[in-house]
Amino acid sequence: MDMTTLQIPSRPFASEQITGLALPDGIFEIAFGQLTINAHLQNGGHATVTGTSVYLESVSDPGIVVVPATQPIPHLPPGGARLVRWRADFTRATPGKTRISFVTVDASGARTRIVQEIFVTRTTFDARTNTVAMQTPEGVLRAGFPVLVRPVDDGCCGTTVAGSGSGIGGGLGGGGGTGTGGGGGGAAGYGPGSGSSCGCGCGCPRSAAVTKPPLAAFRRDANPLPGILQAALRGEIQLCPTWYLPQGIGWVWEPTPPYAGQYGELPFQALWWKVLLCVIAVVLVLAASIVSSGAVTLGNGDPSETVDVGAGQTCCGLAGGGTRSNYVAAGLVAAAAACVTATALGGARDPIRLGQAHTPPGPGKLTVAERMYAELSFREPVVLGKPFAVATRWAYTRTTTASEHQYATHDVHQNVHVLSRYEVAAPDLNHAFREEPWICRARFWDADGEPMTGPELFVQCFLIGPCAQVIRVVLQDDGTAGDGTYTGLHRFTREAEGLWKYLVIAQDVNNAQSDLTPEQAAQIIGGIVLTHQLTISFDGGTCRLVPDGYVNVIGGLG
Amino acid sequence: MGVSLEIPHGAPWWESMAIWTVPGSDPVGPPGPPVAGQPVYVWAHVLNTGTTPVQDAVVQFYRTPPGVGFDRTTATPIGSARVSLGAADAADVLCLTAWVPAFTSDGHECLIAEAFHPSLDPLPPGNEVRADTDRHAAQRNLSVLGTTGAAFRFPFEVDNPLRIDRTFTIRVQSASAEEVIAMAHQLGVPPPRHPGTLAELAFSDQPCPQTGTAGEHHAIDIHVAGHTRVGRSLLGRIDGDAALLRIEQVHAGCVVGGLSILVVETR
Repeated sequence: MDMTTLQIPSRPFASEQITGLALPDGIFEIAFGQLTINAHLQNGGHATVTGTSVYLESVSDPGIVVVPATQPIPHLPPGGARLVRWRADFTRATPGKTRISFVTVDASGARTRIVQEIFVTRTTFDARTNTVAMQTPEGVLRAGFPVLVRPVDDGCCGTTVAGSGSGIGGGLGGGGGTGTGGGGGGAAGYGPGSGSSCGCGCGCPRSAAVTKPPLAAFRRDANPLPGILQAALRGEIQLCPTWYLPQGIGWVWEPTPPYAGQYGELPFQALWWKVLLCVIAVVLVLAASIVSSGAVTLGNGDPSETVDVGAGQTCCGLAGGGTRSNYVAAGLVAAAAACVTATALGGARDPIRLGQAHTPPGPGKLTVAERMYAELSFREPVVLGKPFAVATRWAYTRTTTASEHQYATHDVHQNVHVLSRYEVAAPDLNHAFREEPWICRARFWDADGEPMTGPELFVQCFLIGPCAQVIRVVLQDDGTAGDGTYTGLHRFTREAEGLWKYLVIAQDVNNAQSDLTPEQAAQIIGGIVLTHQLTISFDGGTCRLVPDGYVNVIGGLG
Repeated sequence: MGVSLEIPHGAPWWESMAIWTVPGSDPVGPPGPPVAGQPVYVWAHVLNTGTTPVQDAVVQFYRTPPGVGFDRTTATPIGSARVSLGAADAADVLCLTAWVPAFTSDGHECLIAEAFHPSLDPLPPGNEVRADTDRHAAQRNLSVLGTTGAAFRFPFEVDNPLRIDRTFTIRVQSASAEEVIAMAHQLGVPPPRHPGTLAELAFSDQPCPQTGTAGEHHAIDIHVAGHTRVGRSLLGRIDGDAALLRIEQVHAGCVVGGLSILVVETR
């Protein structure tokens, strides 16, 4: 075997541990504290790789503490890919580009080192303006969502029943321990026990009710965002998003240092500014799901000082249907907010870039800030993974050392993070008392009808139990099936008896190659949900949150 | 024997070639000495001489200004790395945390690396880095010093990490011509045509001295209070176009620290 054939073809990406979903474009946001480093290891050779292992050797930022794990890759056919994962604490990380080295060891002991970069941001909350500031190497993005789409009923009950979780998986960092021998099983991990939305009649164990903590409880921190987000990791707080989608977005880009000429540097030399806004949207939807802030909504200010905070459209709510899967639901709502942000500010070029193109500064003048405001209107329901349209009216102002230059326009964009179809297959009955494995398989086709494979997707199955337990199982397409079948395996315990529902959520992965120019690379955005479980409509009522199936777990012989 | 992690020592022990640096922005680039103002990556060659494989062993890296006698509390951590090794296995380990050598030290840094597993093969207790006797730790306390006209000046520190005052003998010795040639080869320095030795030497307590005090037999005694350090400079001249000088820190008859300098005529 030629070890040089093992590659990590795309930038490792982050998933946060509250909902388990990947963050937009795989950005590692420090406010989450605990994150998972995900990387697709691909066999680029012509022979099957066997008996290999991989470990994470080193991180260039000593503030990032990785939970060590050496992970086996028992079998990887040519072209196949395996998702390998490590938990890490980013609390003390420094924003910027961070290098990570991975080492693969083949059956003969030969080693290959792969060095990749990740992008790390730090978002802080500015209580004075009720906005956030995201720090990147090239500048600071101040942002807020002064107009929001809110549900008619946010469904927040204020009480919770913490699920106990169930089943055994190969926890994070131990990926591959539950392989099916076919498609390759994925790592499983426990999500926070999601709370019963409004009572539980199933005889589930009850824990003390925990109401959403007030924002004031976190105000003692200079930056309350990490404390708020980490409060959700304990799994005691029912997550109920108080807003679902942005309708007015204000942001100010302050390049560091101010730049000369017409065009400034892209964040991380590779991202459109809107990607940062997508991450901020996820952070703020989740944070607003966790704290009770009364009349104030976290991040509801406008740093561009274009509009006053106002009411936006109303939409359907998630809790009316009595969903218990609130961590999964909150994750999907946050994903929808990110997807709408990316769509509304879509097109081949970012609005800031377009604004720069239309506002040449005077000779010798430095651009010190760029202000934007975008007003969104929705013409149809937002369905994740489908080509819904968003109309956007936006205005750009360039502030130079001498004057201001403005540009405004409006456009309509469609969501491009779509699947033409997908299929999920899993047994509807599981004999847990026999330790029977439950195997879930899924296939996905892109907008052009081509099957998606291996490193193109990050796929997880979210199992939601009768007592609101949440179990996450990663599905892998290691190429064995040869047809883009992503497979995951879970073994329920006897205590897991009851009817479980499951959602298979796929997110795209930024597959930009290192030989692209910054502007080419920026046009590729990953980490957006492609599957269609959630529909947000604007006619009130209950949002459609459709699981992909149910499995009845038989714990004993009765 | 279970897990037995080791970073090979040098001869003398502070000249370990199992630790090396890569200057520049590419951590997997060619090895070379640190360059002031440029990022530098550090590597270590780690062995498991035991009979049991080990996963995710820790390799920690430290640096200090040129000197002798430091421990973990006085050295500056660079970063850490992990390595998984089979039984009787070895690997090169990269620390991805770069550091930028200060201009004032002209790229001269002392490096320490230690490999251990917290439960299967832990470090000995305490803060002392026993790079002379402990297989877990190795030290590369080796500088290349360019000179013109054979005269050189080299500031260094004598560290006393213990709480009690101690008096050290600092003595300087010249290596043999064969060792000079071998060291030049190992460091990638052009081989000297006339490997030489130390011709003259003086000590000074000034960082940039013009003159100094000649020690008897190239040695002086230095009193260092507990938990402090003192600075000294070597002021000297070599014959030939290169010489390898070994500065030894001696206490109670034992060599407790060391630093080597390859002085190379660059004219």
